[in-house]
Amino acid sequence: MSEEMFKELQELLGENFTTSTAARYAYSSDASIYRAMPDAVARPMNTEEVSKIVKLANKYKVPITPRGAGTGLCGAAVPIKGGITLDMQAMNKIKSITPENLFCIVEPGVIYDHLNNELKSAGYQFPGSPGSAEAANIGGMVSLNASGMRAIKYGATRDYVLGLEVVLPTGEIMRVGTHTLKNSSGYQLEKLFVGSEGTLGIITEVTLKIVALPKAVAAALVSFDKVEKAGQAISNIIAHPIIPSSMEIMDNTCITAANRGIDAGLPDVPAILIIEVDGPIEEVGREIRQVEEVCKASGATHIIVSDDKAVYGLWHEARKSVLPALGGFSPDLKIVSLADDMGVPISRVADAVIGFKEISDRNKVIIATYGHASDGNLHTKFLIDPSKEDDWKRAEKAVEEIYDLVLSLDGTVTGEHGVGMAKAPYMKKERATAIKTMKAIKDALDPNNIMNPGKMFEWESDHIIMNLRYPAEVNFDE
Amino acid sequence: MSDEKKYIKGDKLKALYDQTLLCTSCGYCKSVCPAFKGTLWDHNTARSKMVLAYGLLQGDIPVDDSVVQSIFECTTCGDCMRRCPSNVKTVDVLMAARQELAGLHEVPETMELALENIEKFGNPQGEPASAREEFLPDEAKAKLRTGGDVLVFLGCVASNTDMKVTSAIFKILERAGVSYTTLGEKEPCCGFLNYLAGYESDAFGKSLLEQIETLNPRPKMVVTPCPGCYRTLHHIYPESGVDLGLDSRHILEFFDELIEKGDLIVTKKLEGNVLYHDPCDLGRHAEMYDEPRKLLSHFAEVKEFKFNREQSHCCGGGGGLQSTNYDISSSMAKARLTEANELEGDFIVSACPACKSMFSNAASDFKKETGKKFKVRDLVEIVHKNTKGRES
Ligand SMILES: Cc1cc2nc3c(=O)[nH]c(=O)nc-3n(C[C@H](O)[C@H](O)[C@H](O)COP(=O)(O)OP(=O)(O)OC[C@H]3O[C@@H](n4cnc5c(N)ncnc54)[C@H](O)[C@@H]3O)c2cc1C
Ligand code: SF4
Ligand code: SF4
Repeated sequence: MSEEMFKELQELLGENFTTSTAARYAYSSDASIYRAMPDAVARPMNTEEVSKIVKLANKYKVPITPRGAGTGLCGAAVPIKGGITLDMQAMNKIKSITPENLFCIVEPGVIYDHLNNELKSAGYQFPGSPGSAEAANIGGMVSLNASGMRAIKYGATRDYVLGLEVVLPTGEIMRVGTHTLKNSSGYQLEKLFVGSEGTLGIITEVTLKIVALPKAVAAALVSFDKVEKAGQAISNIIAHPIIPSSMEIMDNTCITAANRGIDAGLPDVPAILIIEVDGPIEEVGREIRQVEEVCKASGATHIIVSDDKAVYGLWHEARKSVLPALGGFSPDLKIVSLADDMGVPISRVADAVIGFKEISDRNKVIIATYGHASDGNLHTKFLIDPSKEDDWKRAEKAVEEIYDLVLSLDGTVTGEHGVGMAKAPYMKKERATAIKTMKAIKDALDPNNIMNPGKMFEWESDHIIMNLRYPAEVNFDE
Repeated sequence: MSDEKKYIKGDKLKALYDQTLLCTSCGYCKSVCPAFKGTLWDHNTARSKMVLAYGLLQGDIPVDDSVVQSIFECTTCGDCMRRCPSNVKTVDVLMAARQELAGLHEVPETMELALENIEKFGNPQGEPASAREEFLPDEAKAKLRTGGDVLVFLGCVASNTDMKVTSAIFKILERAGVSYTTLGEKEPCCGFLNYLAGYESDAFGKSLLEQIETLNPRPKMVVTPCPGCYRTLHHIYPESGVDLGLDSRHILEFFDELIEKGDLIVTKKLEGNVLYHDPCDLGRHAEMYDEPRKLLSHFAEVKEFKFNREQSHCCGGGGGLQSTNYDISSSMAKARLTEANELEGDFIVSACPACKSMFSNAASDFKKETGKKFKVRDLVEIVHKNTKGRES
């Protein structure tokens, strides 16, 4: 960054602009495996400031990487080409909640849980429910099209974005979408920014659809002696038809981790499903009984049903704790975020889980599988010694095999966490026929390629293990 | 700081290297970290402290003012450690990081002043030693360094800033007929702030031991109204090999015992909503949750903050933050009062002179802004105002 630009930014932002060692290092990583230091961190307070910063970056052709809470798992917020990290967390106002319009308007730095706490008092919710709900920002969620365990019934973030205010890579402020529940007025550009991972512009305001909170909830904790049977139960429930509000699968590695991590008291079996239904009271009672019957018929070994929030809340907490709690699974091994959220057709969940286990055994890497079984979105977490080059290499081989399997099952390399760097080469395979169009859109909006460059289809390597935030040099050229 | 780059030695942090790798950067701790809530900067979160500790250990980053500031922008409240689903020992890591910095004589300037005061005057406030006995009630003055069953260790904050609490303590002890003594100007600083700054505190323990040895009869127990002193006497000295040779307790435990024995008799109850605030050093760090509630329940029906016990929010006064970033620390106190206001609390009772001072300052601002008046009290004051001795 030139001296001139530095001065201009400092004048514009004062204390909200820093090139300090601590800030640059702290902002060099997110929850992914990567590290790259920005040259500076800037924290805008409003759209005008964002626009001014972007204009400067465009003028001096300096990369900008927007950042929310930095909980992304694919390195989308890691500034791989340096430049400015734009911390959006201070733009955190809930501008309005209007249940009578069925939407709310928020700044991008609003934390998911904070928004839902406010919505709750009006009897409403934004039901994305990511595992990172207590930290993740709405801007980050929109940019990754995040979702969570309730996607089968409630959809993903994209289904809630009615409108956006965006600062384009030229600094121009654009409004897309509307303050209405429907619109057919031209290209649905607001959807273009959903999942754009900060590569097309900076979201400065989001109009989000909201839905009423359910009147009642009940859940079942179901044990299986074989993963296949859990998979069968999932398909049988959907085919019944029952559309649960969530249906989470955890394999034994995850169960053990949750039990150790938060003392969750889950049954020590090969696989469990945590199935939740919500809706009107009578319907919930009927549906949870149906769930029980279908699970029994599918070979469940044990079922606990509860409509007590304290009980099923703990099951959800246990599921939520899996990712971080896997970290404590074994003293020598650490959890790293690789192949973290593949999507497959619901009927192929069991094939995928079994396939992942084979890949894990073949490559001698511990791979834990869990996820949103009801919408076919599976997470794996890898446990490796992150200081060993060989562990990383075996892990990358397993990652490749997992994505090949997923694509052969007609799936996607990412259901909700995004591409960033961790899935870039595989996304290029999956979207082979769309890459040209994606590039054309990017070139049209961002001619100087300042917005979060080097990611997604711009990723140049066939490998993903590089720029690690772990103590290993991994060299693929030997 | 000079232009030459400084790097940590690594001898203190090395043992916790594994913890820095254990952190998955999930960000859960951001949701509870008051230092983050107060600044909204990522480099102040517990997560980033793990990242910075890793960077320091790897030699990725040198020690400079910004690193020192981030490591110290923290109340050591420990809420991150409670929240962490990977059970990362966050506070151990950040304390080891502070020790590394101390090894390079790097502490924030504002804290440096307090440490200099400790060296020169024996207390962080820079008061002359004689101030410790100037405001003692006459009964206590008569018992200075006489020896007795119970040694009252007032601590620097209570001694130098809270005459109400100090005087109440001795009035209660007199009332209950306790054989006590106190050190007055000979009371050394416990060294907790030095510990928080990353330095050793055992020398302070040794000075205290020397003073104890001069007392005749030698006390069997030392009691203190300050959770920081309590942690130091009860946990930190023994861990660093200093054995005071007597039982160390928070004074509230002792007062409860006096009530149970009938040496103190409760005379009246408090009127209004009484909220108990868990000081971090007494709660999360010393796991003393039931005892203060039990004592307070003699005087009132104890109402709870929404976030209480293990989940209690920090008053902002911990970890030396009050001296390193007063704005954040006072915003924490204010946030806690806002919680109290939502619960229609009248009394905010704690068992820590630092919490009381934070809340008292915040309460006067709160009153100006909203008109709402809180009664901020230390448990000691509640016991003093609402008990009598056997004979009376
Ligand atoms: C423990 C854990 C559990 C998780 N569980 C889930 C889950 O269940 N479901 C799920 O979908 N995800 C999950 N995630 C991933 C992650 O939390 C989500 O993807 C979340 O949406 C990221 O939000 P963030 O604010 O942290 O974004 P960041 O990581 O900061 O950024 C993500 C991307 O958004 C861009 N961005 C951020 N703000 C803006 C803006 N204002 N304008 C333009 N671009 C912007 C960044 O450039 C980056 O490309 C989990 C992560 C963790 C650590
Ligand atoms: S100890 Fe408290 S203030 Fe310090 S990092 Fe942890 S949560 Fe934040
Ligand atoms: S909660 Fe624990 S694992 Fe998660 S970021 Fe904080 S310290 Fe790391």
